[in-house]
Amino acid sequence: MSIWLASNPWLTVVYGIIVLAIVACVVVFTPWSIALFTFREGLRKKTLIGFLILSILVIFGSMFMTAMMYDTGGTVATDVDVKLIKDICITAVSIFGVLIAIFISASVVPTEIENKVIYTVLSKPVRRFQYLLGKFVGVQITVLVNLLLMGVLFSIALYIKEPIFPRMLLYSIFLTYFEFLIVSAFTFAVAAASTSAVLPTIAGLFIYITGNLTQYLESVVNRSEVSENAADKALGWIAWVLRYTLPDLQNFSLKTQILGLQINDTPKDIQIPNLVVYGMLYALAGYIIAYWVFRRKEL
Amino acid sequence: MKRFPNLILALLTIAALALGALQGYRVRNLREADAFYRWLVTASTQLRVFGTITPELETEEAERFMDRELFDRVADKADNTLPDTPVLEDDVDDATGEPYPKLVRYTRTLSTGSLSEENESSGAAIKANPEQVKRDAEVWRFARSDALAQERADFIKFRREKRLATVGNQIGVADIYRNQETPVSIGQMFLGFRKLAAGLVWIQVDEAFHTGDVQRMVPLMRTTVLLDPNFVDAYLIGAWHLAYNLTAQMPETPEYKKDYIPQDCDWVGNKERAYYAAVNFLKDGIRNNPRDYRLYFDLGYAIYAEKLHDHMNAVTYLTEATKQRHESWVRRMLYHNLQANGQFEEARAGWEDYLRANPGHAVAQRMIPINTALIKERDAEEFGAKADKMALQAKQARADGQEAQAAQLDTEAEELGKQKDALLAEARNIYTELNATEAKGDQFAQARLWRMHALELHKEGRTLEALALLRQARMEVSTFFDEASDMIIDMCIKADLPLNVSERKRLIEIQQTREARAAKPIDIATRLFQYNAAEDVWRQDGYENQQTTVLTPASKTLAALRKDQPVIDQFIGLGDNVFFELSGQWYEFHKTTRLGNT
Repeated sequence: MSIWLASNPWLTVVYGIIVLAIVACVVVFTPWSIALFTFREGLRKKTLIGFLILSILVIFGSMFMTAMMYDTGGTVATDVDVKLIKDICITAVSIFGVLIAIFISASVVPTEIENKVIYTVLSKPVRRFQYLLGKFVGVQITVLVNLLLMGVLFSIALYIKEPIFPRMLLYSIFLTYFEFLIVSAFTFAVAAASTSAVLPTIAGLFIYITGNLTQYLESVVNRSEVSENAADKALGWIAWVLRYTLPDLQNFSLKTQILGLQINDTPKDIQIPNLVVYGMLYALAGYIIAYWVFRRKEL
Repeated sequence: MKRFPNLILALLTIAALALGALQGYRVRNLREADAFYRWLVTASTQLRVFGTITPELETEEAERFMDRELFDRVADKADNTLPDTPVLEDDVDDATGEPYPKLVRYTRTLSTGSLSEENESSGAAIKANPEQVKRDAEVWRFARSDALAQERADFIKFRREKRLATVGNQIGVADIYRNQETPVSIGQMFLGFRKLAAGLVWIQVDEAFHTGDVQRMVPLMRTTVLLDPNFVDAYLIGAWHLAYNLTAQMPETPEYKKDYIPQDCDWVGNKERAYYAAVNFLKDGIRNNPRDYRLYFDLGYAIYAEKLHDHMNAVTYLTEATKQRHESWVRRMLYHNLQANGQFEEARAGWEDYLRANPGHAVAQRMIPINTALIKERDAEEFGAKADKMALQAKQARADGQEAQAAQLDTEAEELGKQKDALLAEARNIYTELNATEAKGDQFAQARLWRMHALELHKEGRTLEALALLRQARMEVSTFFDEASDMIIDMCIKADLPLNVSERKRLIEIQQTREARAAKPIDIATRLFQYNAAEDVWRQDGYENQQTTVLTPASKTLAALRKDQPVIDQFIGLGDNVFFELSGQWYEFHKTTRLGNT
């Protein structure tokens, strides 16, 4: 059964259909005017611009850090400086990118409630799920544009050091986006229930940290298996459910692996599309929760 | 939706989460298959290079590990599952003459052919062999297939139980962040940014190196590769620091004070301890990155050849480096080491191939006649030894009154002597020609000519002239120094001539070493070895003039035996002449020739 689930080609087809359906729904039902307005509003936010500037500083700062390193010799050429630039830059993109995703996802709906713009919008022939979808898509466009900007700067920094087109970087940035998508969707769900941006921001950070630590639950499961205590068994069962239900953001560590990919390394052909589907499904869950809490919300 | 909105939304949420969880399961499975695939490549490479998957392990220790058993199960399934491919030249095990198992053939890196230096160093050569890409994809499909579900599950289980030695155990990589039972892994602690953490630790290593804080470097280097086992440059530079910078100020340990360490297969002093730490560090790198030629190259050339002067192991690793995608100098270093290991035919064939790919290459053009001449010198030495033996037998026969037999032996010895002279004359012609082609003369050829001339003078009884020639020659050609010095000592002793201070010192050290070794038998793998100082021979207890098979570093029999029974390395590491028994057969190993080391 487990193998059937893991590698059945028909299941892959089903997933393909689901993903296409999600994309089609987004394209058809999104009120693009709301999405574009949210995007333009997002670009004006000073906090996001601040994060972007900081990320640019870190990306180009990485070149100074490695410039101070000497060639320590050896019999073969080494590319430590290029590797360090890659690692520093992808970390900067991930940290500042996720902060941008959290801050914007946490603030779009509560801000509109706070400044009462939401009343004007919802008085128009726009349904609540469409309003939320527009906001969510707008957030994603903002995150994508920021990510692309950082990716371009990262490529320039890398190209200065090593004049080869960094093809794997595109895959890495692409995967990073789907990690942000999950964090952003769940933060958005919390934001839909909140009237202030503070709580969803804290929740977003918590989601990001927890998402990176879910593998810890596996050791809880393993330890409960060898324990005779009923409480431990129950705890193990809860850990098992959480382990398999909560999104595991460590799966996206492939984004750093492929940056240092050797020519003869493991083929990544099917891992990337599978991670894309993974990100989209959890984003869908996040959006449904957001709509669920926002549907009957007293405004 | 209108009647039961909450119920429908709850169901939709559960459905989305369930689908996500299922997809998470599939992703996790893929990541496990990825780890399994990497392990297959590592285990196959180890098997191909060493004949065993866990060469570093003792027999008793190996029983605990499941690497071989698991690999054999996978290899059996691969034979039936992977598509048939023609057996290529490199698919055959040189030692046994048999093709490798299908899985090993599939996972080995295919050669990109005899590329010219220009093409090899350009971007064009970096593209992988298309057949290689196809084979990798086949193995990857196989690694994640239903057919290997049980093996994959066992792989995860054994890895968790620390029963796989090939996933990087030298510095506990497996113990820290690959072990599911560890409460919090390093990877999780850094929220997925452990590669950055590795980079930052590496900056500290760099700083420690430039401030001379060498002691601090070693733990930092180990932390770096612990955080990022795919940081190949850290392995390379780390090993370089250990073998070169850490030992730069260390005094040499006198031979007689060194200890025999069976795991290292060598007599080890302070410097050697650092060299073998570098060896282990690089081997750990190879386990984690089995397809990076730089690790094999540095291990073979920078450590084994340059530091330990172990050309046999250097050839093993450099050969493997050339089987991965590599730069052109790697092959050149392999051919130099083949020559240093006495494998002149292989070295010459390699240089000929290199010259075909790089027409007009100056070094290849020079090394082909050099190896030809060395083959002739070696054969001449063999003929000379046989002629001397026959002359002795003739003398004995004459003393026994068997005049006819003595006369026949004399004739045969004379014939062999002629053949020897003819070969030496041919070698001399090659060296003379080579020396004449260079404006400043060819140092190697010149040294060989001086050596031949000195030996002739010595044979004619003109030892003082021979010594004068050798003393001058070793100063003119630095790489000839050791060989010439040994010849000088040997000639002086035979002619009962006085030695100078440094030569006497060298003799005393040899004497002290022999006494120290004779005083202490060595126990290796339940065998006891005794040293005979007079003959400079190590003999396993129980040897009583049995029939033996002669082994030299260049012999194919030794290569096959090393793959079949790696414990042999611990025996032959004892000294230049070792007698030992293996599976009921007695062997004698001789590591004598200096030919080609000049």
